[in-house]
Amino acid sequence: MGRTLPSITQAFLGEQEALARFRRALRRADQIALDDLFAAARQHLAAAAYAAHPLPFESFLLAMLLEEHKKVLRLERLLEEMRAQRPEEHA
Amino acid sequence: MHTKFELPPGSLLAPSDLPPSPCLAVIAAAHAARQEMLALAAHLARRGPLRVFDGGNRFNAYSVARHLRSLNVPHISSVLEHIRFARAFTCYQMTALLEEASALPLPTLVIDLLNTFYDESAPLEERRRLARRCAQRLRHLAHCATVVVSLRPPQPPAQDATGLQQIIEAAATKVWRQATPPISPPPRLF
Amino acid sequence: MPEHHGWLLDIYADGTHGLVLWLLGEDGQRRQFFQDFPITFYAAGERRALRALWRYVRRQRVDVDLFRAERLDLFRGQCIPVLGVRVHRPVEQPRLFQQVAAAFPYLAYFDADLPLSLRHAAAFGTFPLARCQVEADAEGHIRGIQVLDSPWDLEPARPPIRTLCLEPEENPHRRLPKYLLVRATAEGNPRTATYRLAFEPLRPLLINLRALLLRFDPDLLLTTWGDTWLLPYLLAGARRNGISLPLNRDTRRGIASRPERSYFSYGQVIYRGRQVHLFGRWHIDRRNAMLWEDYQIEGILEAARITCLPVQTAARVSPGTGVSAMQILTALRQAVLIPWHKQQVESPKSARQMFAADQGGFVYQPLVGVHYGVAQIDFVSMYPGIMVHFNISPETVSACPPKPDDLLPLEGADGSQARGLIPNTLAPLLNKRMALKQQLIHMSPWDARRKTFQARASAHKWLLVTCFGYMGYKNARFGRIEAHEAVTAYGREILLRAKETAEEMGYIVLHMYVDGLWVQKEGAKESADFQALLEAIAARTGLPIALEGIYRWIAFLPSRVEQRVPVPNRYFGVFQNGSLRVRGIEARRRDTPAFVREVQMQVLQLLAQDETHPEAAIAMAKRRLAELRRARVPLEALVLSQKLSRCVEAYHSPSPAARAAAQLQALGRKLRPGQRVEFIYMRGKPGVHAWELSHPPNPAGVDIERYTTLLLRAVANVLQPFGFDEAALRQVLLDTPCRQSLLPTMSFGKPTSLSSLFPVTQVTAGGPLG
Repeated sequence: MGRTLPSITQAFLGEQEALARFRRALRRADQIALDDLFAAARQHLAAAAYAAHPLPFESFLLAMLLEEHKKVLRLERLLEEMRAQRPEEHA
Repeated sequence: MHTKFELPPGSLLAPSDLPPSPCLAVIAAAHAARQEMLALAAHLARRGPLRVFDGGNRFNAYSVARHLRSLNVPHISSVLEHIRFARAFTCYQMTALLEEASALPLPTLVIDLLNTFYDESAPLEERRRLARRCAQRLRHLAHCATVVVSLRPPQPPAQDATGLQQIIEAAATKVWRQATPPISPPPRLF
Repeated sequence: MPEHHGWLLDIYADGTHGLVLWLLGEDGQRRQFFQDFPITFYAAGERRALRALWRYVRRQRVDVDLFRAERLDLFRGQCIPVLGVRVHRPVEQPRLFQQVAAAFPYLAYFDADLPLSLRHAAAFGTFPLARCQVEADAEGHIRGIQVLDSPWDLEPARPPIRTLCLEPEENPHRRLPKYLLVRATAEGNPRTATYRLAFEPLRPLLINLRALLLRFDPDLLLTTWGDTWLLPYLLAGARRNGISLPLNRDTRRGIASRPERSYFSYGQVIYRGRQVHLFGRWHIDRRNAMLWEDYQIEGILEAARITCLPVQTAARVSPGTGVSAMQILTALRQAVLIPWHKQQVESPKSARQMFAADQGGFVYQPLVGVHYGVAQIDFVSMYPGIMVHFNISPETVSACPPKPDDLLPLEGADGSQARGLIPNTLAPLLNKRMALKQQLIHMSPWDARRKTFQARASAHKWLLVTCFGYMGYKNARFGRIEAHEAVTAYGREILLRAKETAEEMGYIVLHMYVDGLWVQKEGAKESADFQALLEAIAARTGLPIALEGIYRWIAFLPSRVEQRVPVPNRYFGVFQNGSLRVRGIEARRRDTPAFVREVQMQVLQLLAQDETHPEAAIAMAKRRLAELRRARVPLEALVLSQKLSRCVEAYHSPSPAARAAAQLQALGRKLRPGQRVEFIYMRGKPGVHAWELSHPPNPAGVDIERYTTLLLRAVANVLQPFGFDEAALRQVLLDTPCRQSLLPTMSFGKPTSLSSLFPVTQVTAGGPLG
């Protein structure tokens, strides 16, 4: 019977499209960073769909934050390892 | 007798555009005036309960939620509960949907009423008969509260060769038709 | 009174005798019988209207009984008063019903347009190829009929079917073939007779074919292009030459021909060619049969047995029609009214509920990249399993989809609710599929029955795959959107429970796709290592889950457009036994030329041997590319096939397929939406050469650059997880200077050798921490 609600991917692209003016006015380097955030949000489309939130953008923001936090944790761990290897330099 | 209005391209409907007393309003526009109908649903939901029937898989609930957010509605989820929604996938189902709906004092929106009627798997005479039943039922529902029906006219150049649009419009108290877009506007930078 | 034993070949309505039945006797005789078989349809509505209908039918000159009755309306859950019209001669029913429906359009009709074979199945338990015992008088009138086996038997006795294969030696839509290849085979008889008959002149061919039909008397005419060209051509020729060609076994009947058509199904436009149906024997056109590649004749016969649709119909209809037939049969047996037009409407839900209800299956974004030691575990026939286990049927679901908390207890339906029509229909099929799969697992690879079993399993698979989508199909008589939504809701819940179980047991979940999971765990290498996981998931979801296989390695691919974005169903991998599994890439697509498919598979095979040294694969791809660029690839291998999505005239900017179709239309061939068009890419305008044009394309004009790009892309797609991209490959394979190097592993300023292009780049975004 065909779905009525747009798929989560369509909803995602819609939200991205809605920010086209915002993106256009950013500097090139910032545009690339913004695109990274959106690409990160796409890792969790299945979870956003399952959440069934009327305003899915909130789920997308959280997904961006999640990937950012994972990056922070990875960097922290890397730093810890470097410290452990050469404790005298990082004391 | 119904009056005809032109719907300016790109305009959105608000409840204030509707007559104050119960009526049957028909909007004929490209995409069955989907955006207009969804915006209207959001406005009406803010005020109280309403019914939405969908004949063309057009009820994008995300869109309604976004309209509510732009209206600064605080509890979007509870306002969305005001909308009672049902779909029809064949012209038989659309007819049954309208005939089983009781006449209640709450507004009813019917989005893309004729979509399932353009499916040629049923004979045209049968589809016309069902469209007449729908028109009759819509008038009945419009005694109690406003009913707004949207439909998508057949693709040009076919001018309603099926006569289906005429059947529905004839029952309306008010008809909006989408203004034809101006032919090739001059190029400009802004 | 004489008794006959044999297999039921065909049933159809007959003007003078009610029904005609053909029996393939155990004694080898093919016999025709007759049977009285009145059929009934019902009307419901206002009393006054029903009285008017009563008077109207009385006035028609048709032998009928009229009666009032109460019958069960499944959607209302209660019996409703109906007027029954029992028509004595089934051949008169369709016309009478048409007249009635036109005269009383506002009444609701039931059991009005059902295939005769289903009515007979409901009354006598018959099905195509059922073993029957028939008692009949000397004139062949049936006095009693008893069915001795069941469509659910795993190994039914095989009837000695005689098959006559007719195959023009080349595609007749391209040019008139020179010869007709004829092969006569009989089940249980190793001898095969073959003939080659010239089409020109036609008269001797017709005379020979006629003699063959009379002498060999086949049960099945298995043709190539028989529907769309061969049989109509032969019949027209026979008429011109004044020769009678006994294609039918029933000599009193003409040929039934059904026109070609295009229709929409699941968002796709489907084309079905003209059909030629016979009486007393079957005609199947391999080119017009549904899923012939999967089904073969055994699959078609199995589909006919379990759907109870006539063999010639079962061969040509979609699995959706098969599922519908099975449901109708259940309804007839349970005396449930079968609506002519479904008028059941969706029960209203709130806009808020739409977000959770209107969703499909759970589709995860995989962790892009190459992974080692991965197990794929799949729920066995998940959606039909859910429908049976949780008793989902139009009459059993509530208006709102279940929330995770109100999932039925895992034992499934608790018996407080009677089993619904859909679960009743599916349960025996599901059981048969499981039993057959079990047998296949334990069957030796050299067992002669293996191919037959696989073809039958394939017929089951398609019916089961379709039954879920069919539940949401608008014209499905027992479809209901709420039931469809409930199934997906259970599906998502079950997949999430499986994920949670796996994670609690220390597995990493790399991917989930509707009914399968890809999991990985340090140290888990053999099937025994995954047994505990399978058992835990089955216990927690109530549904059986099986290990599909363990991959030595598997690569999940990103989107072609955006490398950072994972795509759910695009992957390839090598199982531990060395076999490949490939999804969503060029090698699986029908619009890829055979040459490109072949090279991509060769690259994959070399990677399967040793993925750490792709040099061999690259060298091979380079050789094949050189072949292409030196025009050493046969033209047939460059042919692509694409579907027409609409009429040729309706394209604003015609696709290559539309341009090829236009070339054919210019020569008078009419092509319809849904038909596939084969063509070769050419340089200049119009850029294509339709393969079915009678003159071959000029090899010098073939658009080699376009094929080069297609090949490079296909090769790059499978080498990309190993650190290559298209631009780098173009450079390596074509030896042409490439302006920019996009390889992430290359360092700037240094000359790069091939070996420095490895090792593998790991994409970690979205991956688990650690």
